[in-house]
Amino acid sequence: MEWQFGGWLANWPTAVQWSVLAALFLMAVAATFLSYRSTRLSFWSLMILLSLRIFFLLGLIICLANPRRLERLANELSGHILSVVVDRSESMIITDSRGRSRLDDACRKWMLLREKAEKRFDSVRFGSFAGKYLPSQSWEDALKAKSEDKTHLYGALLEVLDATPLSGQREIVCLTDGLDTTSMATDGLVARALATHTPLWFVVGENRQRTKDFLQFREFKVPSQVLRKTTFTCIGVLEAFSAHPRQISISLWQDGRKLHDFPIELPAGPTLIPLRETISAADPGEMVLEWRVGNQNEAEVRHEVRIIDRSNLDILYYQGALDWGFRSMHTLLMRDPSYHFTAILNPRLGVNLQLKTNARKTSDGLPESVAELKKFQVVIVENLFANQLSTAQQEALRAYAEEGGALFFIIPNKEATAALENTKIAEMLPVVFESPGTENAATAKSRGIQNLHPSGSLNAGSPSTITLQPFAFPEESSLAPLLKTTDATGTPKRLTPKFATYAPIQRSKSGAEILGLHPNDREPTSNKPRILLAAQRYGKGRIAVMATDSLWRWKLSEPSDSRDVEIFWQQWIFWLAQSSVKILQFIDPPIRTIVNQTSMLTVNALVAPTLTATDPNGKALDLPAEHEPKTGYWKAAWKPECAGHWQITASDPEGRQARIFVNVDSQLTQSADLANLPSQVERLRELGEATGGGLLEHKLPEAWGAANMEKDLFPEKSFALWNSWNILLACLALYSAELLLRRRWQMI
Amino acid sequence: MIIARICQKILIVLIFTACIFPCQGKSEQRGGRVEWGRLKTSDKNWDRHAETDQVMLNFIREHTTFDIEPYWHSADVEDLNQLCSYPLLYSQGIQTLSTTQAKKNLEEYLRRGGFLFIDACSNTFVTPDPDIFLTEQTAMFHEILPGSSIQRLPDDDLIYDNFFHIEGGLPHSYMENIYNPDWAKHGLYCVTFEERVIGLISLSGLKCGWAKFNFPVSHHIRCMQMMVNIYIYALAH
Repeated sequence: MEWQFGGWLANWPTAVQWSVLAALFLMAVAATFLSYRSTRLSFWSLMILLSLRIFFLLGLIICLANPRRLERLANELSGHILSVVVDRSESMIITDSRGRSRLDDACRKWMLLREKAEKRFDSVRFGSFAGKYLPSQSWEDALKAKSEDKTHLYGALLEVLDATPLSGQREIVCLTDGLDTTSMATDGLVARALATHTPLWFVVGENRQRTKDFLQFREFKVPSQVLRKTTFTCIGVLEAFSAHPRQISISLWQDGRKLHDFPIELPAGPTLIPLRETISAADPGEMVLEWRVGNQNEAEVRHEVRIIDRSNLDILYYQGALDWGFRSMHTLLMRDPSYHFTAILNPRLGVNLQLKTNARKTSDGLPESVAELKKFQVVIVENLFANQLSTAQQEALRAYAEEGGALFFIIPNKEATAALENTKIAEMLPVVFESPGTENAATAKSRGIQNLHPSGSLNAGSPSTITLQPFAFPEESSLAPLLKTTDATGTPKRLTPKFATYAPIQRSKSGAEILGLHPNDREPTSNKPRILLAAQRYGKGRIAVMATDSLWRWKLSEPSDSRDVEIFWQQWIFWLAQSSVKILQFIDPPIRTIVNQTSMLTVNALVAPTLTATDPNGKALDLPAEHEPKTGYWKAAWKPECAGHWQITASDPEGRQARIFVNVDSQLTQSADLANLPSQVERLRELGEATGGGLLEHKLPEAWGAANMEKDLFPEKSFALWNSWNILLACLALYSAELLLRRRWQMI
Repeated sequence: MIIARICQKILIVLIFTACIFPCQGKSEQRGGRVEWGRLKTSDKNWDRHAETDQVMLNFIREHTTFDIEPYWHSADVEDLNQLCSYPLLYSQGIQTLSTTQAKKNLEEYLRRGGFLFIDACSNTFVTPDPDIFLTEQTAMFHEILPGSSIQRLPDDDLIYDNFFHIEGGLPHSYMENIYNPDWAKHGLYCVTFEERVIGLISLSGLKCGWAKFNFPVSHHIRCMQMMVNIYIYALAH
């Protein structure tokens, strides 16, 4: 804990702060002495009056100084810890023609930094992994651990993070080549790293291993479920190594029909080819998408997408201050029968409403238990003044998002952002707002805010001058494809929401996805476009922020027969709710495996699903699923006994189904570990930067061991010390006492 | 005298200290910015008592968390964009709409989600007959939105209690403050279209009340309270 001056003194050097206060105090004391100099009081009476006045002046000086107490997150561990994790998989220890392994290279790089690094931390811990993570007593023990022909990089890092409490104070350094041989996605790893404020740093080992020609799909991402008449993005990543340049043909198939076919020039050496296509979802049903490489299908991967008519969603809408967004949101969401809309108002507003659709009173206020919030798939909070929420309410919101809920904040003005200070809500948001008081007149004007004019202003009677501005959407965001629609003539167009006012965001936090930008305004320091819409995975759920009004003016500006506003909100809410909607889905399903190797299948389901694996010959095998209380998922072990294309189907008693396709190879020819694939430098860089870390190459990060950590990694809270009734009452009592004594001693 | 001086000094200290607290960062917590718009028509009285709207708007600001600008704006019925700048439009009456464009604009504004509050002036030189006034508004609504319906709200409707409790029902302003049963019999009339509330009609001269014309001291307060309730009613329907 420490304290500092705030308010008008905040930005001055400490010496100047103390000097100014001392000068003011001495001037006031001198004035007091002068005023009492000519009185005929006894010595002690004079001393009493002077003391009362001096203490009163001290109280005033405290108020003017605006002291604030700073608290940083308590360190639950003993100091700041460095965890060094060594990859001991086969790909790291195989030597090249010079007799050097990747582990040798990584160790050489680390040894240059190791001594300085370890001095900056209170303690250093070691561990190693190939398949499973094993803690070690020392650096030497970590290097000698047993190696295996598999690399469970992400799983091992997740294990280290699981042992890290939420207060953070840990950095992880991993010596690896980045070749994870599982199909595990990195989303959960990044979310856990962000939640524990633990950046990941990588020391990449490289050598001159001769890589065999290699072609394999590493990733294939599509939503499990999409709304009909929408578009979505199909993403694939093809990993390849070719000894010589050659051309390959990649095609995308939908339900056995070729959609696209394009040639790609493979250069000599390693290549990661990202593939991205926008697919239109037509009528409800199942759609099987497939990427294929080459005429003989050198590599292929398949995935099923379910197109649904509508998705029943329970939405809780809370408004903290009266705003016309209530009418607009209520009307739009009530129009869709698949949305069950419950609206509540801040009880402090004193408004008594009875809405037919509500199962609860509008004046109930935000629930204090996460169980109440979990009845809703989406919680929308507009005009939240977080300092009006109790600790229990804030904690319930946080836990709701962490356990899979979709939480969406609409924060349209600076007053609401000021109220976020020192609240759990601010820690959860994917962005950092500008501090109150830093805004200049130009930015205020660009935000559409004019100062309130005094009564009788010349502006009275004139038409409104508020203008609407359109959002700008980054093309690469995952929301952009959902904004494509068609007009009445069938011509493609893009939804363009318009806003009038916005709250300035300073920056996004690590791992946040920027979904919407201001078309003109830029953040002064970084000169980047102002963020207006951002989202981030939070635990199993998702948190999003819209720093504008709730777009009700956009609704009024659109023709009455336009459905753009309605479609936008439907698409946006559906995008948000993907983490929490009641669907049956496989989590991080494998794309490929080998015969007789056991894979763990993970299913997100409300009740025990029925899992069936069908082999290439059509023979079905039941897979019993067990519930994992920690995650809420269902897990089943699957061990294919023959090679070929397998299908695994999950179904639940309510008739929901999900299906995945897995290629089973007969032997480990296509293993990344044995194929001597090159080190995944860029992949590790992206992963590290998503968590606030990165690659360690020639020097240590400046923030290591420094006292001034970034506030979103090591948040601090400030509490005003002067802002207390005790000080006011004390000042009043001292001054009153002086006046009464002066009266008594006939000075008045 | 002496005690008065002491009290005076204590008061100065209190005021000085109280001034410090607001300066140190406690901000107003309000919703998004909104403006008050008056519907400008060919009626020469369309802006009647508009100069006193700021009194009512300051009242709304003082008692609620609406961030409403404390001065009025005009919205020309011939310009759809002007209409669509306001979620709620205040009007002296729409019986004088004569051009096709004006009627189309108002129809479009209401279809897009706008809300129209019509408040007849209690001056009998402006509104000679309240029954005829109501009939004229009804006819115009039926013309621009066929299928719309106008129903009187019951006297125990929640509109009289959704924020302020309005004792005794809708506060009426009367010409020269003389009770007139022809006016008193009217309550608030709700205009609905396609199951959506799109407007309210009042024959109680609320604006005459907050303009403080010869009325009892508490009357203008009741009129402003009623306006707050109407504003919140429009927000929630």
